[in-house]
Amino acid sequence: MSLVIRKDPETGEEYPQSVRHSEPKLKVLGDPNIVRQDAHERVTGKAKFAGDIILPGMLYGKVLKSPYAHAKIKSIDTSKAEALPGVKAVLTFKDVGTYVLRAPDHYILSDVARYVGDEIAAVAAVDEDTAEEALSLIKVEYEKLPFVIDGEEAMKPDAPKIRGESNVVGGKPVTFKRGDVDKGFAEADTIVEDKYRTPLQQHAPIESRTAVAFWEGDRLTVWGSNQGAYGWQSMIADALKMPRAMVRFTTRYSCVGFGDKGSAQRQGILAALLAKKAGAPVKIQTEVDTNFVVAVHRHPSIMTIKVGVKKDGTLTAIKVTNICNNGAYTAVGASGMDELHRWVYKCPNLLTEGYDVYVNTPVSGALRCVGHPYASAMMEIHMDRVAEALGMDPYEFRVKNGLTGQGVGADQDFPKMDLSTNPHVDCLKKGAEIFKWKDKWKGWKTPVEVKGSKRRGIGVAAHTCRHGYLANPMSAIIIAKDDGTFNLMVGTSDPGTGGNTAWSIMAAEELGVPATSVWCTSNDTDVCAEGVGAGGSRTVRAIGTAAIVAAVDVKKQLFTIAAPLLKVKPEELDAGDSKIYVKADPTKSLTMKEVCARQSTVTGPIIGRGANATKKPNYHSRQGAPCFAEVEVDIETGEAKVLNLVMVSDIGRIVFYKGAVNQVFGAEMEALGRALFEGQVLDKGTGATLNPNFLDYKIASITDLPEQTVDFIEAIDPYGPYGAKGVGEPPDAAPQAAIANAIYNATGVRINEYPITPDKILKALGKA
Amino acid sequence: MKQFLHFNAKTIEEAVSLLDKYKGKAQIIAGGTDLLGQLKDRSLPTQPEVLVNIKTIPNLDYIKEDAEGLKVGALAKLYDIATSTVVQAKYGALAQAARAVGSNHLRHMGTIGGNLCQETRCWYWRLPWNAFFCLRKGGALCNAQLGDNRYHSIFGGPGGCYAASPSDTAPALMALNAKAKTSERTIPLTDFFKDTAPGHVLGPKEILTEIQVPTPPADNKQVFLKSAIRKAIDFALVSAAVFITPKTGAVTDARIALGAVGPKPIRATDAEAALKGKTVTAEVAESAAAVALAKAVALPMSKYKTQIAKALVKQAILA
Repeated sequence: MSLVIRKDPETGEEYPQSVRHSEPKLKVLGDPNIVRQDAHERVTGKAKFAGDIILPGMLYGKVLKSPYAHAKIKSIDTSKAEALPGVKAVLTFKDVGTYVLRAPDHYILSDVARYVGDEIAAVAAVDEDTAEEALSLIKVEYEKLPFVIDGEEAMKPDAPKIRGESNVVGGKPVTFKRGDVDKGFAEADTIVEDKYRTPLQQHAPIESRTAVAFWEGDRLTVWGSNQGAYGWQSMIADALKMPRAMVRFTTRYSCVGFGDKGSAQRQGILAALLAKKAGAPVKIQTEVDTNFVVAVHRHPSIMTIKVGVKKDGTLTAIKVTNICNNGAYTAVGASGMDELHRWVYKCPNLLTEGYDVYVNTPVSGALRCVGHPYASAMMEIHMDRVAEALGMDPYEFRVKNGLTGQGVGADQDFPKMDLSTNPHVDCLKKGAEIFKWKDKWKGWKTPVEVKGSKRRGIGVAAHTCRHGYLANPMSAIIIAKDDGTFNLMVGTSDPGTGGNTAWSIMAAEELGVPATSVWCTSNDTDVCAEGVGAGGSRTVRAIGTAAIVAAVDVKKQLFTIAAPLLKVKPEELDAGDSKIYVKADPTKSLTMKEVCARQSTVTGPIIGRGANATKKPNYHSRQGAPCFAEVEVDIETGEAKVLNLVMVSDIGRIVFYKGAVNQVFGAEMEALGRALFEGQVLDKGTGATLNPNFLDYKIASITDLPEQTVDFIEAIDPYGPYGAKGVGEPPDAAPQAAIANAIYNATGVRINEYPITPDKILKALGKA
Repeated sequence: MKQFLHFNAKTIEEAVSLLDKYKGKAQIIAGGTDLLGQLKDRSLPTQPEVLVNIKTIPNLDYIKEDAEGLKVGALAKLYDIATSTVVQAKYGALAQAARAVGSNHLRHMGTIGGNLCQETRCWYWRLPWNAFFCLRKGGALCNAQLGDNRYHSIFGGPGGCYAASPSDTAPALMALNAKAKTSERTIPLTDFFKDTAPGHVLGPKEILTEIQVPTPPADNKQVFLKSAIRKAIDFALVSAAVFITPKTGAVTDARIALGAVGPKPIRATDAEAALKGKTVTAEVAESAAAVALAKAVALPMSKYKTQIAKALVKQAILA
């Protein structure tokens, strides 16, 4: 094991970048028997989430939402609400300052509502019913303004303006250009062009946005639904103009991160402000219907794709124009999609134009990646059509055109970049073997089976992306216990990903102890080291690196203690099997317990410290996550049932095996819902969300799940700790188009708009 | 949720007298799987001031069979109906329909009485805080008629409302020729529903107490089919129940009922007549299905439901 000193290829600057074993003999990593540290607590409901916190004298906060898609508040009268017995505090835009949650003008509370559900006032009362009653007593006089909810409409010159001169963020598209697409299309034998749509999609969390705030004098303690303690701490400290040390955020359990819990949640700030005004702790637990509108969403997108190809299947040009609904406030959307188009296929000419557009709808943001999944959902249908236009097997077409190669020079756009691994075509090949693609595929417009009104079809979608960025600032502390066990303390959340366990596994591997000897104490700003939130599938790499560096620091201290006792020099020692032993003669050893116990009597505390490098290296490690699907469609009722999904993912070295498998299972379930069921429906006349509940916004249920095969390729990433990459986001993309393509194979009709519901299938079949 | 008075009734009479005492301000609650959602969402402009709990009335959850047929107490749980060997043996369409409702949890909470008396799932009607004061609530127009009506009626807007009836057990019971016994009367289930709020004909102090299903002729075929977007925890896009006797050969009697196609479940009597005297073949089934939907008048976004309804009627006849 060693820290690797990396040299920046451009600047020549050296820095400790990463940690790896050259010849790893791993004892803990990848062990399929290791169970998540808090599995039992989570599945039995005993885990304490922010919503489970109840404090003496605690009040309940509720937030008033705008019923209008676009309106200016002419007057707001809270006197009746304040007079209601049991109401302890009321806040409006006049009371909360101008802290900006989201550019350019998403304030904590505002005097302008820009979508149905935009929050405009808050109350705290002795119970939820009283708080709700108080909301109904707040009298607001609105001046209704014209609104627009469709991205294409919003781009028209005469469209109502959400603010300023143009609804296009920045006034122009985000573009990416490689080669010359006009030349590419001129060289093409066949050009395929079409337009696709994805809807507004939700995180659909079991835990809605929640915050509990509690003041002791000038010091504030907050619990909340989160993806990272330090993000909450800095948001609240900045909004309330407090020193960060005076704000403690602590919540071990959170769920369904996927991005929303990593975005700015004004519930935390409002709870703190209400608690201060009321002089009592306040909990805000967002109602399910409210959460559907105030949480961030996956961008609804309209994508026009044009692809040129030669007769032999070689791509000559790809042009993508994307209109991406940001909602009423800024969130990067379109800029994420060009990455997908750059990375999956090799093609000399590429032009992507992405318009981020303001509309009067709920805000878009991160949802298990920004940009890749929706772009993949549409592009991978289109690539199927290109293959069909050539009469090529869609799997063979993807193998032929998938970008391969690694190392410096392998990336199509940044020749100096070290593309450390790039295995998605290998994943495709292994997936095709497991799925038995070549046995099943019978050709275009030929279902694999016809039985009465049921048609079975198969489909494939390629996917690669890069998640698990290494340059995120993260730090870790490990403290030893006298019995030879350890606490790993990290200031980031495990929002259900299994992170606590994965990070502990890496520390345990390094310390030479079993996984059960390390407990991760995460996400408390009073105890844990600084770090950015969980997101971008980054924690296994970034926290893992910090944890390993901290473990190396602990071992150094242990060796210093043990060396005189074993009468050797520290550098002659190593750790393993919960012992410190002499490398040359492993029979000479002390137990971890014997060494650690001396901290209380002789040496003082053993505390290891580690950080992840914050220097951005010029490298990429791509992960493959293609998918194969088999679907049965009843062409009389339009019902589609997914029968089988096969995914072979590359996540680099597998750290926490059960956690990794579950991430892929969960991603497939999520993607299946997005392919067939999910979409937030807005009423055209008012902009109101019509399905803000788990009945009408349909996520897949357990009965909708098919047979799932999850397998991996471990393309060891030299930059990642133990060769690991991130796992959470990549498998969320490809199942959507794989399912869509299987429906096409079954029915012979293409559906260009998600979700692919019975109405669309029947309409395409000419039956409705 | 707005606060309310809550009474645990011990007898039907007590429940009726409470409804009478708090005229128009009280509502019956049994399983509560529909009502509590409405109350929490404040879907309606006004909230009930009193809830009369009838779960506390003893011996109203029976499932029994006598010489006349099946008798099911209004408080019988959907789970118990779906898993009852008595129901499965001779009243299979009802067992299938009860099984198709919601989820295991909901079937353990929800009662047959509640499944028949539940309000529409129309999203304009349901949206929290009375966001749309629609025609069904006493407003001026049906918001679904001009709005997003993908889940709505395919038989026009009788009474002005274009909602879709939510009950799965209603079409099954209608196909089985069931009757509804209330605290005041016994009526054919086909007459139990109406197109306007609250979807049934119970008077202000009338309580549904029992479902009666006559013993069917031994030689029969009964099928319930439900099409929904999701395989569980979903309401029907369309549901269809078909009862045919005898099982093979020339049809002497047939009843076909459709759910979720209009504000109330309907009997497809023209299609029933079209089947009589004929031996079931694919062509006969197809043409009966076409007859069942001949008078359909779909909304712009609900046209596909007509096709689904046709498919389900055909598939049920042929099953």
